[in-house]
Amino acid sequence: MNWLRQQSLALQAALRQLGKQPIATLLTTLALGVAISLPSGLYLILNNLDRLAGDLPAQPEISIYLDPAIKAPERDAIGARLTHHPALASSRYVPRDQALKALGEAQNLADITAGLEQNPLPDAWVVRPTDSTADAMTALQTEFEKLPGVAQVHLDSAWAQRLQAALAIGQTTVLLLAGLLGIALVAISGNAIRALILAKRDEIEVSRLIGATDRYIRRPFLYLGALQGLLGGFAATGVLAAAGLMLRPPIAQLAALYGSQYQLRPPTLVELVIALASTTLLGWLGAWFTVARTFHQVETNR
Amino acid sequence: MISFSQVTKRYPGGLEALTEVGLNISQGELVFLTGHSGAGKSTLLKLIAAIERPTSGVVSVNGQNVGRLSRHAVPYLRRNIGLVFQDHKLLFDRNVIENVVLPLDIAGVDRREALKRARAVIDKVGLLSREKSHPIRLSGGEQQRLCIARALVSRPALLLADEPTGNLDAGYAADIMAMFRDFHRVGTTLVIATHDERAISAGGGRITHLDHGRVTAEQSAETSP
Repeated sequence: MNWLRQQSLALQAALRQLGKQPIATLLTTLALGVAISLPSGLYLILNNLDRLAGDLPAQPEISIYLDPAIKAPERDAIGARLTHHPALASSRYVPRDQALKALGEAQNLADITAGLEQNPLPDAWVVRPTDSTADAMTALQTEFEKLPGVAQVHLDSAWAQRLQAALAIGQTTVLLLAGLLGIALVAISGNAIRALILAKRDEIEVSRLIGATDRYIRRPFLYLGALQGLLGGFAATGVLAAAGLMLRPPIAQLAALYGSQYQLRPPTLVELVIALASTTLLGWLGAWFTVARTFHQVETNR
Repeated sequence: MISFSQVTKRYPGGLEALTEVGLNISQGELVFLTGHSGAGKSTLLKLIAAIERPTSGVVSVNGQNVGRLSRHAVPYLRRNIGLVFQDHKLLFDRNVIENVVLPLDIAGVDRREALKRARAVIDKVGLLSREKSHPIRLSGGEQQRLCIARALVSRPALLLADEPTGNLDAGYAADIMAMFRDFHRVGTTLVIATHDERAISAGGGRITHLDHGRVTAEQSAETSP
């Protein structure tokens, strides 16, 4: 009970302190908010890009175009090989006439395809490997290229893989940025607390003389750091929400041009809680470091 | 209650404030520490409250060796000691009652109970009408009374006062001394460092005279001229 009372007194003191210096509180909150919004914003962007990539055929396919002058035995050999290949999940044959028809329908080029004197497309096989890693894909590509009667082998989804690779780099960047700005957060929070401790030197000295424990003196400053971190987290949420609202119409427009219903996905509740908890923790940590160092300084200067 | 045995205090820089001091103060006594400034009066009080630690010798309060208390134990010692300072050491960003309630907040006393006790002690020092004032609005004498109220609110068995009347004119000084004698009458042990002869001659208590860090004379106040 007593413990709870001491905590609530310290929390009240910290809240009073924040209210007493609204400008300083606002400035620190803004600095923290901007610092926090950078890695969190990048995280959200990557998350959305990742989802965009997920909507596309991430299952990569390989197209195998046959030589127009291919002989029947070779054609049969290739067909047999591809339908029973152990590394392939599925395979389907696309005759040139069907390909031309599909092209005409899909791209509204029926007039043009109808006007062609002869079909320029080759017969093709479209196969889907079980293992879609880059190495396995390349191995299959070289294997198929060597088959007699094959004109060309094309990896359809190479770009999706590249995007995945780029996203992986992005995720590492988010971690790095979060680490760096986490340090900045500790420093900003610590600096604000340090100024306050020096301003409250007398109060600290008097409290000690009349029987305050180290914990009693430290507690309001730690709460102050944590509160400042939490406020910074809320400020960052505000910054990102504003950015999201501004980006929504142009993204909807772009998506409409591609005939997609794509929309920005806001952070989930869990992500939000984790972000706010970490900024609170970092603010507390900054206060803790500063309190340990500055109290020592205040005492030895006396 | 308090005993000094062979206590020497040397400050960094070589100044020796106390030299082999021996002193015993029993429960309920009223002791005046006299002597010129720099004789070691303040240092003696600081050793009792563990604000300073002796270079050698033993200072004990209620059987505890104060010089060897851990940093963790010091606050609990101080909660049983009321401290009155010449420069008051009030907090100027809080009003009278908030200043007085501070020791009780620190000790974790229930807020309503704390305010009740603070009000009672403020009444005792005659500041009840100034309860909501800020210390800056109080006169020197009132500030000293506020400091005394803060020292007394946790009902300590021991009160240490360092030049409590040092900055006050005669009228205020007599007020304060009369107040201390009241506390003595109800059983509080008081140790008062002062060079104010007027205050002492009012009668009662024991005088310990310090000269250059040594106890040179002890006498009962009644026999002083």
